[in-house]
Amino acid sequence: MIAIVDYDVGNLKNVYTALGDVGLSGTITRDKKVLDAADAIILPGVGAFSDAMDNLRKFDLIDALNNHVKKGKILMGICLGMQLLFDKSYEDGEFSGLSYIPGEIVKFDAPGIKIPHMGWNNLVINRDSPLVKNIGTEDYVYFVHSYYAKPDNFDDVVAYAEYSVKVPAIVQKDNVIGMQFHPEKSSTVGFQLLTNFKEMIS
Amino acid sequence: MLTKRIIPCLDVDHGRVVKGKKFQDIQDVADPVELGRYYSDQGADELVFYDITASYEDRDIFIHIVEKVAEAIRIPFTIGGGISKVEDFRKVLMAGADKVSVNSSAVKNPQLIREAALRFGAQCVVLSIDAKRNNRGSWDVYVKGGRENTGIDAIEWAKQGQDLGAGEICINSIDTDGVKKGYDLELNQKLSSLLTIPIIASGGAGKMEDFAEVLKVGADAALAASVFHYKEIPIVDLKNFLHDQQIPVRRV
Repeated sequence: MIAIVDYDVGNLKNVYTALGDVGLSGTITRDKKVLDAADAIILPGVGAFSDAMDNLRKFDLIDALNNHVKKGKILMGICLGMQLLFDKSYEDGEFSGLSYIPGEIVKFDAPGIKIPHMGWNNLVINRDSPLVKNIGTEDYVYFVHSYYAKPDNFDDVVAYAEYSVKVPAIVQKDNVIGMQFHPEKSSTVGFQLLTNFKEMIS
Repeated sequence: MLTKRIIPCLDVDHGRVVKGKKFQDIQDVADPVELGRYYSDQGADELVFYDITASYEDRDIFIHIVEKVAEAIRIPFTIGGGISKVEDFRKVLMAGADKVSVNSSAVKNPQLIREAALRFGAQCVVLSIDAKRNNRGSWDVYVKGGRENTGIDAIEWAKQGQDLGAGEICINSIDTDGVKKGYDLELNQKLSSLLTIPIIASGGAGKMEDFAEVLKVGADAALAASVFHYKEIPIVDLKNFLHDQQIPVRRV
């Protein structure tokens, strides 16, 4: 069972449904006992960074997440959920994140590019990981975000997308994984990525 | 590389797709879920479902459709039609939609854009504008399905929409809509160079070259209805054509 953390940041049902496609059973929850029982945890999220951190605090979920990460349980953040895995974000101020992966979240800043980075962008593999099995540069995934991760160590980036800069698309540091795009909205490529995720946790 | 998007638009009335009769390879072309799935398999990058149901009571039928689409389809989709308050946003987003498009209601109450963007994020707020050329070399914003001229300058309104927090602008040209002689290139080019958010061109697609032209002048996505529904342009062929024109597209 995969716990999908419910902390009031948008609709989580699409993640739940897409997990079902690859034969994973999800539970949308903020119950710590369910997190304990889960094989892996998914942290989804859309919206603003500071609101999301406030909600994690409000529902008293941060210590639980810290403990699970420390104990080696796989945690995957999606979209804003991935950004929360880093040290801090400059979205409308300066806010601390969960600090599982060293680095910062910054705004796109290049002349002539459209923000949000919205649409289908191909992945470039940066390093080996079971997460990108059967994934290559012809594979497109659906992004929608205005801020991107700047990791201290680019080796934490498994795959990136080119959009004025190398935008970290899949990050991984030990048992902590992030996907900046929406695998649940990325058609057959998303299905492959979630299949890879399933194989990692089984 | 970020690709240009091709977006079929489906008009839904009382839970059924209104246009589209020439599909022999799908069992029920009037079922929004079946037709949506078909387009998704063909390589559509996103879908728009537009609720044209007149009566307010039938809104619940539509919410049910949104839920069924979200269960069946793994590409993003936008819901438009009849959205007038933040609560309407919440309903369709919770039913599984990725974005919500607003038009006349935002003209009446521009703060709707700001409130929705703050609450749900700019990425899900699409400002849809019906624009028509006037005789002063600019474009006016029309509402009520293109029947009423507001006198508002379309380009100024688009800029204001961006400032209020819209994540995208869908610009529908009334002059070219239904004529099938191409998108309004000048309008799309102007908006694309002035705005920093993505632009979806709408209205006028008749042949594959029309898509290529509007994407080349700067539109980030091109929306169309009848050329897809009547199978005049298969999406697979269109993507191959655009690819040959050096336009970055995602092909399935």
